[in-house]
Amino acid sequence: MNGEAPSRIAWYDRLQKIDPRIIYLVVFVLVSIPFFVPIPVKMEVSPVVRKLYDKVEEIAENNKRGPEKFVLLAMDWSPSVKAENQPQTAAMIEHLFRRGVRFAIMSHLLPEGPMMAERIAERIAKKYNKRYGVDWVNFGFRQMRFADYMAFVRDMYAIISKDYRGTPIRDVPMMKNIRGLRDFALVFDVTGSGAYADWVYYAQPEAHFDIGVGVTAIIGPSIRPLIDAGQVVGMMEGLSGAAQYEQLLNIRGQASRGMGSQNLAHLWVIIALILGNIGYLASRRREKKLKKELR
Amino acid sequence: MRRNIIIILTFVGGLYYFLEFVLPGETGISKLIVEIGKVTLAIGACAFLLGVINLLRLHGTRVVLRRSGWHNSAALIVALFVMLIVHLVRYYSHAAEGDTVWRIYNLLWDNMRVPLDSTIFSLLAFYIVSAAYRSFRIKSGEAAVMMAAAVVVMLGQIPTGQEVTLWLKGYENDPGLWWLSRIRVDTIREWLMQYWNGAAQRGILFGAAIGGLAMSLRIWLSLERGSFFDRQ
Repeated sequence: MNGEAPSRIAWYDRLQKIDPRIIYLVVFVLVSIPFFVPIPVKMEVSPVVRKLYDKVEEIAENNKRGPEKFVLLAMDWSPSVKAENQPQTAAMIEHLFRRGVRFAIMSHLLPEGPMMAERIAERIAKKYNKRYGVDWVNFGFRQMRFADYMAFVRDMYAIISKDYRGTPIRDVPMMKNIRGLRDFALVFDVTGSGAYADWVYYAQPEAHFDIGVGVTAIIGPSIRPLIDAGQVVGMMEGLSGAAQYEQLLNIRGQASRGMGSQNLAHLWVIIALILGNIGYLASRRREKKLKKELR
Repeated sequence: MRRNIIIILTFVGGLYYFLEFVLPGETGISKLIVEIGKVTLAIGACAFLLGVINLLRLHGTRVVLRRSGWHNSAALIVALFVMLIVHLVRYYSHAAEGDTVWRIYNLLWDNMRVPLDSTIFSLLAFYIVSAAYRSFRIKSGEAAVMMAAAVVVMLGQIPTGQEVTLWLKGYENDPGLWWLSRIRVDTIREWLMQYWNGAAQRGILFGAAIGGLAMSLRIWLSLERGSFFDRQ
């Protein structure tokens, strides 16, 4: 002990300098709580989610009357964005199986996407008694960028010769009803990147299908102008979008369960922001007061 | 000579796709699009192989010369080949689910690759909270507006945030107070995202598109000074 009084840190400085380890710990605890204590989640459905849901309903209704149309699930996501993209994929597949809309899976960007989607489809197919090759097909991964889409639109079979399981594509029963990409009414691109843009800019002007997207929350804002222009019909934005879609389907899936964690984490971000700013404003006020006194 | 061949090929390729895209309907040149598409697909597939070769050269050299961090490079090479071999064996042996090769594959994919990838990305959540807390200070009027917008957007996409103003929905059919139902957190969030954010995003999109157009023209006409031409 050297006899000096320990320097006291003012409360407003403390509020501005919370130890990052405490912040991390609170995030960890809050995100973990809903795993043990499920939090009921009820959300208002955003218009962009509603439009996507309505589009699938419209396809299902039109299929009863006119020529059958299909849905193409572009699975341009990898495990890193699984937390958001997997529930979106599952919600869409659930809806398609439920309404009897047949679909194809593929990716032009990531080999992992069709692989992950295949497992989700297999899991949900059991619930609805659907069969591979009859109710859905997996084209697998095809490396395509920009102008390759023009070839894909003109002759789908020239680009896709075998399905994901190695079966010649023309031997897959469902493909007998598909002449080309123009038989698809909707392309639903699930991604954590800008992969949807290739469908919008290169394929849509030729094939005239509608495009829906399921994107990570960080990509969502960049889709808004495309929705406004009618180039994208609707979207699931982040985990929240998937939870809203699950609500429309009246199921409590992975997204609804995950929203409990996101709910608490977001509240913590807001609280941390408020605390930091209270400290900042108080310290600024104190500085101003001190300057006034010195004058 | 080589330079001229590249310039001519680039120009003809660009011209072909330009005409194909802007000319209405199917034209004489449209018949070639599928065949050219197959060629570009094959070129794309070759790029994957080049990537692997490049990776092996870089990390192989590091392992052979025992440079610092060589063990990380060795782990990368081993992981690359183990995953490749297991996948190829599983695919071409037509192994049934439950077979040894399937179990090894699931161990590598479901129990290693997927959790590792997801975990690394999930760490962002921790850093984002910490970074927002440390850097987001109301130092000006603009910062205050941004903060308010950020809080509304965050509240608007979580159930608890929406709950705060959900009772206003009850006024939706009230002829005098209907407007109250429009100032809910979730509707304000939607308004901010669709109109304010949408306008800003459209501006960014236009800027990027004009930049992309200029860059494309430079590449198409071989005016761009790239590493290839600089070495000629």
